[in-house]
Amino acid sequence: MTPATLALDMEDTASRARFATLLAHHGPGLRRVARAYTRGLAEAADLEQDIALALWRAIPSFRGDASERTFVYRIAHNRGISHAESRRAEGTKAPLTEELVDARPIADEALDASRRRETLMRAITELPIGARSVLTLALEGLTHEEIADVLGTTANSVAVRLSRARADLRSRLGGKS
Amino acid sequence: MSSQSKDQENDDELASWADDFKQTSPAASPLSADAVIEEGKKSDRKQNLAWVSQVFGLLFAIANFLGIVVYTRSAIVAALSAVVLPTLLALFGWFVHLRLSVGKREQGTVASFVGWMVKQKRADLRIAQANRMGLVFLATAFWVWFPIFVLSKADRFGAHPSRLAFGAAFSLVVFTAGFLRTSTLVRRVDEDLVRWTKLEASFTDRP
Repeated sequence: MTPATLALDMEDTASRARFATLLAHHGPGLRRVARAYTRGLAEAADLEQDIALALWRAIPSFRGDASERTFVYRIAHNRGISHAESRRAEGTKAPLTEELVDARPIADEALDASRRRETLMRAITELPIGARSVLTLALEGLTHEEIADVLGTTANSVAVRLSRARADLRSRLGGKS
Repeated sequence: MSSQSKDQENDDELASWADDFKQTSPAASPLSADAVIEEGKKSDRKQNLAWVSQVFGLLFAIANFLGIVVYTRSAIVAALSAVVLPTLLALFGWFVHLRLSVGKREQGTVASFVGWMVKQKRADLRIAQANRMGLVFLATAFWVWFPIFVLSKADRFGAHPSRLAFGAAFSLVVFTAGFLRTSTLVRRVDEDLVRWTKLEASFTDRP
């Protein structure tokens, strides 16, 4: 093995290790992003794989200019938005997942935790894309500064957008939370 | 209600949504890093092949057109090449630019990514419109030339009118299908551009 191929091999091993760590740390978050931009579990699984691939390809050029979390969520949301837009272009009305289909009005007290979560997820997937991106980032626990860094705006603007997105979500949930 | 208690209520609401949101996918990702990497290598190969074929297709078209210009030494062809060659070269440059910037734009902020997509859709629209215009130009030239050609070979086509009918019908079908296809493409790209432009506005800070 020549020094050049040895260096390439070591770089590949380091990239693989870094990718596995990123996937372990941010995997659940990536899956939630994928669900927020799709209308079914199978479609979400495909998008999640697509996001992971984009992340793998981006690792060699990650120089730490942004935080790791910001880096991961930028790629995830860019892919998610691109996916959601191409689905809209196709005019696809994919069926909602089984657990999202049932929209019968049920009294607050009768909603069990699982049902409440699915109602929330359905309402999130129905938000306009701008509101969806800012809200899901906030729900993941990113600070306003981090969200601003992902979206490319200011923390003040994030606060305003988040407030609007929350009002929209609240009204879609019928004032229930 | 005081503003402090309102803020507290809002914070509680967000925290409750965040709990529920996180509970929708709480487990570790089922994706295996190695499987994703292998899948990535396969899809990279396919993408590279598609890109190479696009680039070689364009280079082939440019070389062919240059060959025709040199071979015919015709003033009309030379005039036509003044439009066609820069168009093909611009297309070549655009494909190379797209290829080189694909990774970079995905790592950028959402606002810059959406802005980039708007630019791409605008360029796609121009390309689609130019394709349609080129086809219209070609069809017009063909239908001006066709009767002259038929008249010059009147004795031959008179003996075999079915050939003339078949040739005319075939050309009509090809040009009509081409026009419908390029028009559909222009309409789709235009709709894409409208949607992305609206999306861009939602990521732009209003003063």
